[in-house]
Amino acid sequence: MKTENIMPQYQSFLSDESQLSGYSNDIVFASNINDICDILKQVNKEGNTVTVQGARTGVVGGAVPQGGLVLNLSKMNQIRDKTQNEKSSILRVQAGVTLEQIEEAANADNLFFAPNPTEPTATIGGIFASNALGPNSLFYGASSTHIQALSWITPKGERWALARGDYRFKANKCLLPDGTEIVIPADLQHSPVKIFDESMDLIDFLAGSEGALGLAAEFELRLLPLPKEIWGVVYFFSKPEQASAFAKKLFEWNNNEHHAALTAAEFYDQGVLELIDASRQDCTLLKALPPFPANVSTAIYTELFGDDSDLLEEALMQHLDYFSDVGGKEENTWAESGFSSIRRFRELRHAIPSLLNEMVTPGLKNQEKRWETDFSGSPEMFDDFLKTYNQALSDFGLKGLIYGHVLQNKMHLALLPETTEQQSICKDLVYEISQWVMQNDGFLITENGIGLLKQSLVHDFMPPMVWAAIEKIRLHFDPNKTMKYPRKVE
Amino acid sequence: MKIAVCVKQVPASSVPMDETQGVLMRSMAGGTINPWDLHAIEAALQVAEQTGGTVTAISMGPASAEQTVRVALAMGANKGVLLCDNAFAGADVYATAFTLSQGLSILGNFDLIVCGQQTTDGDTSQLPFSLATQMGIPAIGWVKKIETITESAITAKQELSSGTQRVTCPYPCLLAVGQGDPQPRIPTLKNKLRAKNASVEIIGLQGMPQKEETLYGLCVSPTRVVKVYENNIQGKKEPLKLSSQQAAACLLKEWEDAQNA
Repeated sequence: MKTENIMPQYQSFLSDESQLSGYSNDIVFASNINDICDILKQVNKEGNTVTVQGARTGVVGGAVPQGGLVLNLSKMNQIRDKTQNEKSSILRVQAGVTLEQIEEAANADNLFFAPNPTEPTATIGGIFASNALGPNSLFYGASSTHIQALSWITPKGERWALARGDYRFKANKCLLPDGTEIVIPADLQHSPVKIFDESMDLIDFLAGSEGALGLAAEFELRLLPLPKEIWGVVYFFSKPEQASAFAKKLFEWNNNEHHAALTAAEFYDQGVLELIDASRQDCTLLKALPPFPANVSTAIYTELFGDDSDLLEEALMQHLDYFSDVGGKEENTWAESGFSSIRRFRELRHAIPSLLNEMVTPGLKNQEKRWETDFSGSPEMFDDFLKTYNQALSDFGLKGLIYGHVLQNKMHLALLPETTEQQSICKDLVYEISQWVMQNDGFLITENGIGLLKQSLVHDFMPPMVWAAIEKIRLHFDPNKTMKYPRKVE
Repeated sequence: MKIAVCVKQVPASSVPMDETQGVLMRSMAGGTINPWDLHAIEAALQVAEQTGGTVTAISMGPASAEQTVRVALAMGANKGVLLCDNAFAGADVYATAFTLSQGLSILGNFDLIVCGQQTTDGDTSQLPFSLATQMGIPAIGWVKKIETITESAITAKQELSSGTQRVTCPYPCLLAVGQGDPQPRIPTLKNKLRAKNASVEIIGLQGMPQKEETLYGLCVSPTRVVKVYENNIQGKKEPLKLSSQQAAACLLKEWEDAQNA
C-alpha cells in the first residue's frame, strides 16, 4: 500500500456522480482492514484529513475531496464467505464489494439481499455510509437493518467489531466498544436530517454518517430466501389524480396484514415518462422497451413478493380492481413475474436518476443544471407532498419531475432550470418547499446523504443548537477532526 | 387469418456442452424464451390485430418449455401447444423442423407461420427455412418490417447484408423475424394472470400424424457437432471503386477461380 499522486492518472477520483469536482494531491487504495487502520493512524499523526471513497456513485458529492488524503476502498472487493444454516444466511464482504457482486453471490443459492438501492455498481461501504433506501425499503426497511455485523474503523484508526444487538441505545446513551459513553443531546430531535431514534442499535446510528464518524471496512450481510413468487406491475394513468387515488388505496391495503408483501411502490410523473421517451434512442435498455400506452401521464410501479401463488394472485386482482376503480384501463398495465424478468422494470426505475445525472443544460454549470430534493414526510401525507410539489412547479413555471417511494412519502422533486434566471428561481423554490416540509415535521435529507451538494440547504435550516449537538457527537468520535466530512459546520 | 408462432426455450445463462454427444447440457441452466421469438410473437399479434385473426403459439421441448408457451399467451396469443415427448429429444434443425411441421399439420391449416430468425443457443438461423421447406411453403427471412397485409398475400421488408429488399408472398407462408422495431409488448396484468392458469395443449408422439419413433429426435438428426468455437474473422473489407466493366470482369474472374478451385 502506498500513497500515490492523484494527477494525472487518478484525476477522475476528484469527482463522483454529483458532477462536482474537488481537489487533493494524494490518493491511497486500501486492500484490507489493516491498511485502513495504518492510514488513519498516520493521518492522525500528521494532522492531515481524509475523504473516504467507494465506487463514487453518490449523487451529492460525499466522495468529492476538499484537500487532504483520498482513501479509496474500491479495491477491497473480496467476498469473504457465505454461511448458511436453518435460521440465517450471512454473506461476509469487504466494503468495496458492489451491489451487483452481492446479488450474484446471493442469487446463486436462491437468496437475495433485500435492500435494493438500484445502482449495481455502488459499493456496500457507500450504501452503508448513506444508509441508502431503494424501492424495496417499503417492506424491507433501510440497508442498515440487513447488516448483522461490521468492522468499524474509528477516525483514530482503531477497529471495533460490532454485532447487531451488542451495542444498543438506552435513554439516549450507548456504551461504545472503547469504553466511553456517547450521549445523544436532546436538541437533535429538531434536526432536519434524521440522525437518531431511541430504538437504534449502534450499527443503525453509524449508518448514514457519511464518513464523519469513521468507516465500515467489512460487513456481515443478512440474506433472505428468494420468495417463490415475485411480481412487478406498472400501472399507467391518464390523469395524475388517478395515480394519487390509486396510491391511497394501496396505502390502505398495505396497512393491513396480507400473505403477499407489497415491497415497492414507485411514482413516476409525466416529466419522468417524457424524460424516458426522449432518451430511448440513446439508451439500449430503454430502446428495448415498447412505447408507453397512449395518452398516459403518470405511472406507479409496484412489486409484490409471496410464497403462496394463489394468495399473491388474489392481491394482484385486488390491486387491479383498485386501478379500475380510479378509472385505470386494464390495457394500460405492464406485468412481469420472476426475479430475472422484473429486472428490466428495476432498470427502468434506476434509469431515472442516471438520466438526470447525464442531463446537460447549455449555459449552466454542471452543478447548477438541476436541483433535486431528497425530502420525506409522514407517509400519511404523501398526497399533500405531491400536491405541494406539483403546485410549486406550476406556480413558478419550471420544468421538473417527481419520482420515488410514494407510499413512504420519500419522493424526489428534480427541478430542471433552462436559464440562469430560472436557476435562481429554483433555489427560492427549494427553500420555500423546505420551509413547508419542516413545518410539517418532514426531513430535508432522506436517502442520498448531505454530501457537498446539500450542505448549504441543511446549513440554512439547521438550528444552531442542532449543529452544536452534531458537533459534540462528531468530536466524541473524531477529536482530531480527521474525517473530512461534514465540513460546513466549521 | 390463422397464424402460428413458433417459440423455443433456451438456456437462461451459458451452458456447458456434452463433448461425447455434441449437445448442450440444458439441464445445467434455467430456461427462458428465446429473445428473438418475442419479436416473432409481437409480429404475429400485430398481424392478427389487423386482420381479426388468431395466434397459436407452438413449441417443441421438455415439460419446462410450457413456461415459454405461457409467455406467448401472456402477450396475447389465443392458444398454446407444446410438442413434448422423449422421442423428440436431441433433435437438430432438420428433426426439430420435422416435428414442428407434424405438430402444425394437426392443428389446422395456418395462413401464416412466424418464427424468430434465430435462437441464442443453436444460433443456426436455419430452422425457419427447414420448416418452410418441409411444409412446402415459401418463406421470407430476416424480416425487418411487415409492410402490407392483403387477403391473399403479405409483403415484408427484408434486411440483408447487402441492403433491404421488399418481398411479397402468397399465403400460406412463413416469416422469420429479426430483432428490430416494433419492440415486443409487455403483458398486461390481466393477460399475465390469465396465461398463468391457461391450459397448454401437450402433444406427444402418439398425437402426431407420423407415429414412428425413428422419424424423430437424435436418431434422425444428421447434424453432428464436433466442436463449438467462435469464428474469429479478421478479414478487412475494403470498398472497391470500379467501373461497371471492371466490376463485371472482377466478378467473372472470381467465378472462374471458383470453378477451377
